[in-house]
Amino acid sequence: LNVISGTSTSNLIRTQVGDRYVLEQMLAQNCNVGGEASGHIILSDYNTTGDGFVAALQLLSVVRKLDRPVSEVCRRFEPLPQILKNVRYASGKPLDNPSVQSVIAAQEGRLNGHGRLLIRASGTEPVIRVMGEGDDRELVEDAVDIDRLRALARRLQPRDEADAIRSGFAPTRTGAALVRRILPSAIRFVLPSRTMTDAIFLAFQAASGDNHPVHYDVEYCRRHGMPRMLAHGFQVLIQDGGE
Amino acid sequence: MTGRRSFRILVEESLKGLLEQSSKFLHPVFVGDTLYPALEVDELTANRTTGVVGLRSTVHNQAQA
Repeated sequence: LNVISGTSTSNLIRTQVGDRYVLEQMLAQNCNVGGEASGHIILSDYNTTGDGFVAALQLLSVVRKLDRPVSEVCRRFEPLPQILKNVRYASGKPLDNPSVQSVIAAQEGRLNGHGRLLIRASGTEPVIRVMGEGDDRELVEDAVDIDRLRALARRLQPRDEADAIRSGFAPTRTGAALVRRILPSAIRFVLPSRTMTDAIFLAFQAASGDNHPVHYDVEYCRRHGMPRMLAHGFQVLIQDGGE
Repeated sequence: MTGRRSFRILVEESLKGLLEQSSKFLHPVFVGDTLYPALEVDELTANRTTGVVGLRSTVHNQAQA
């Protein structure tokens, strides 16, 4: 299409994959022919969605007008190499990973403007679809070299489960899986220290409703042999809630 | 294992609920004291979809050292 639009009076606009994006651009740019590689053709003079009957009738009317065989009418361009490969992945969102993004950018660079690379995650299965096309088959094959992507994916193996979660390679797991695989027993979490200031005493009294003078009246405490105000037991206990 | 790894990172976005707790208070804490809390995993039980994590919690007081 790039080649044809370069030699004819039509303009080519590319959109994201999906016919709602195609239609959106058609309305915005006032176009009357839109379509997708799947065969979806939108002819907005007649309908706002892809319509196989309308497309077929339009083709037949052109065939009739030219009075030539369909095989001849449709032979309008030399097919360019297009290669589609699927890369299956285990979990997570590899396309969000910056290292994966940099390899994709490098592979796009290999095409050097002589084609394009379309990489997207399937909406229905854990597969990344890698599509490359261009006028030079060898160049396209090189660009969609998924072994290179796979090698990268192997190099990117997360160090541990927590690392996997941070880098987007692992989904959030069920509590059962966390307990089985992630949390080692006897792991110790040291929390930051905290000074029990008057402000914390006050906040705890407000939150708990506890208003015994032992928690707010230092003179009361002294009369009972305590040097300073006493913290409520639960005020001490909740210091471990900050995990 | 010890370290400043966050419990919150390890349990990801799992919804957590408090099932039970018990505690012993060994010494009083006064205003101005600095407390040093820590948690240690001492129980891991996997159910079908949920899991139970037991945490042994300690709060040390610098004044009691």
